[in-house]
Amino acid sequence: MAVDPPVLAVKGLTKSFGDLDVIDGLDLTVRQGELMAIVGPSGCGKTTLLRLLAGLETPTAGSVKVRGEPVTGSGPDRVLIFQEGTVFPWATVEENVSFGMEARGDVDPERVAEAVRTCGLDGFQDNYPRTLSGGMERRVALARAMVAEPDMLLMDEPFSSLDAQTSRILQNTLMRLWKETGTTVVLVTHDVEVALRLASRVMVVSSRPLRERDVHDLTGKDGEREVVRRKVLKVLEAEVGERLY
Amino acid sequence: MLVGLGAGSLVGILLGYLMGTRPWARDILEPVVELVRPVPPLAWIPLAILWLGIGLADQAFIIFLGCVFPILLNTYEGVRAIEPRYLEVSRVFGADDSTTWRRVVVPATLPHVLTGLRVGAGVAWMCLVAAELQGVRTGYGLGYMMVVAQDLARADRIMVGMVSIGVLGYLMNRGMRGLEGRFVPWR
Repeated sequence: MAVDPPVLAVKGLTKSFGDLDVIDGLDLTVRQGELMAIVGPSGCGKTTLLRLLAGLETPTAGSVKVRGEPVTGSGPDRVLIFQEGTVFPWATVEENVSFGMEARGDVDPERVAEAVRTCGLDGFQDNYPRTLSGGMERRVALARAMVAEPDMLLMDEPFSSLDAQTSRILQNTLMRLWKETGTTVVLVTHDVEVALRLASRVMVVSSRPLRERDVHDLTGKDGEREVVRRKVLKVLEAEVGERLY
Repeated sequence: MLVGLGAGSLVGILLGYLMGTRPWARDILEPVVELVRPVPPLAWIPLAILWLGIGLADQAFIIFLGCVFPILLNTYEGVRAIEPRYLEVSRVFGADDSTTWRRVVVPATLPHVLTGLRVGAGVAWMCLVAAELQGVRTGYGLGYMMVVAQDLARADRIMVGMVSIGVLGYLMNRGMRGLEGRFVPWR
């Protein structure tokens, strides 16, 4: 077997803001083409984790390596899709999407048009974000990330504050893109159902400071999802001290 | 008028961006700006006449002083008001500085810059008329017409002058708003 370094290797990752410990000694390995979901209670430091992976923050201790290379800053190989409100209001849908390519170099209008189509934005190319619904805005952010052809897509609560139907449709879009492109996806969410439906692997993490609690591999184990679901919920309920479902 | 407004816009916008993006520039310029700004442009008239003589140069100078500060401060505010998230998006995609400027900083600040230009043009207009009241040799300008009318005790002419100033100022403001609508279509 080839011994390529994993797409993402995190070792002993620790992050503190002053006295506040947000992440405490996290180890995480993500393999090529995986869809890794990190599930944890609200406010547990998941967003900080993604910002560290994206290179927007520097670790207090520990290391983040992408294909064996230490991360020293942000780069178009890892595109982070923020939770909300990062579509440029001054640019049309098409201009927003092509920004993902422009930042890397030349814009290929064909690819932009294709991403607009596959993300279900056809007919909205010339719209300004002000005229779009929340779900459409997420699609713009997704399309903008896809045209950059990242090795790894980092997603922060990609389906939060959407109604159930919109959320479901966007999940299907993501799954289609993931299967077609083979991109590695790391998404963080508080939503157990979303994680179990989409992920090939699920990591459950603790309340702040964020630590690993459990990892479940779901590849080829569709029959075991219910078992895993119960295990994940049990851990999460212990973390927040409340019944969740 | 045009020279003063043009120079005021150029200097105001450039210094505004500089102050907004470079902390050292802000530290140097902010005290200077805040010291000079409270002095009314009209208080510069005596000095302007002494240095530049009565004529177009002193008018342009007064207009420059009147419009440069609203333009500068609005631009500066615009840069400070940029959502940090938009700059982070740019970083996440690995955009270089020039792409970030063209696609994020300039469009994000454009509404503020245009507001600054509109306010600056209004002040410039007021300064122009006031400068004409003081420092015009002969023969032209609404302000000059009104001073002459005062000497002739023609109140009607003075009022015509005032109404003209008001109407022209109004039209200028309308025009600037039109420009804002054109350049800021996303609002």
